[in-house]
Amino acid sequence: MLRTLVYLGFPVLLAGCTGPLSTLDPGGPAATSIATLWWVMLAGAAALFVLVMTLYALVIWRPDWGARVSPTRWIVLGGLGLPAVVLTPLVASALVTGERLLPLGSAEPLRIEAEAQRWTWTFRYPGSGDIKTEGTLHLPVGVPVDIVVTSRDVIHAFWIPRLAGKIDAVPGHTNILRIRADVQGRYQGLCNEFCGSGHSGMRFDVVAHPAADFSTAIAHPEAGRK
Amino acid sequence: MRPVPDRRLWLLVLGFSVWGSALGFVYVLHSVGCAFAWPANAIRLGLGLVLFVHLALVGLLWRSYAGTYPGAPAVDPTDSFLNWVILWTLIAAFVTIVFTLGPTLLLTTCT
Repeated sequence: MLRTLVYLGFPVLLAGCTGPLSTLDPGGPAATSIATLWWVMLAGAAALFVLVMTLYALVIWRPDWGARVSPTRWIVLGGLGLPAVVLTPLVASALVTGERLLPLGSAEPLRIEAEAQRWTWTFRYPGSGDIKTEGTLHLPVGVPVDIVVTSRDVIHAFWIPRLAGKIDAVPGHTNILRIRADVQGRYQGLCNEFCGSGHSGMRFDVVAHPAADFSTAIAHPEAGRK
Repeated sequence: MRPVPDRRLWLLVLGFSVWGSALGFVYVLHSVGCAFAWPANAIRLGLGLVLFVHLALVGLLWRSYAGTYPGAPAVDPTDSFLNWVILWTLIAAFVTIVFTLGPTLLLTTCT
């Protein structure tokens, strides 16, 4: 019975590792860093789990061994030492990854404005005239882009799982998220902050064009949707 | 063994209340500083002061409770145990402030 459940459950779990909204199938450097951090965290959690279960098994099967360790030593080594050894590298890894994701650097990348309004997304391309697209974000492949995110009504959150982490869209305030799509093609984005009854349908398409075709693509956004 | 007075049990949350206060002040100072575009060094200085004040507070409490550490003569066993737990929660709170809030001094302040 247990074996059947494992055999049936494993493919179901693995199916979550792919798809248009999978963070484990990154399409750019920011999402790659986040996916790497996720695997590092999984490895740390697994290491901690194995260590705790090993100690647990030892005291069950060899109670004499457990009784020889004083309560103070159990608390200090098991409660403080063990988590510290595992958590310190995980925290360091998370901090380094967080720094890498920040939009730093002297070069001024391409800027695209993303404005949320219940329950749609509008994208403007300031460097390309008065062009705007509704529900579809166009990006050039291999070029860093700063998405300037804001909202017209309530707090939303901008998230393209395969390209970067999420960032809040706050009325009267702009947040900047730097993303880069390394692979040409289509991605999906969504609102990741509950914003009302239409929240679950507040999605948008992302089309990554070859850099040379980008200007043409946003000048004729209908062509990109086909 | 006599019962422990209620007011003494509150001391168990003393250390992590100070940690909570430090977290709140760091969060607010960081957010306000970035929103009003304060210089990065001014924000770091403010964060450093907040951490220093809270660490000093926990340190003082730690020092005062270290004087009532179990093993001192003529101490009730329940009081002794309570003091021992309070002392270790203070030590844990001190380490937690350094571990969880210390990195804010080294990381990028605002973008």
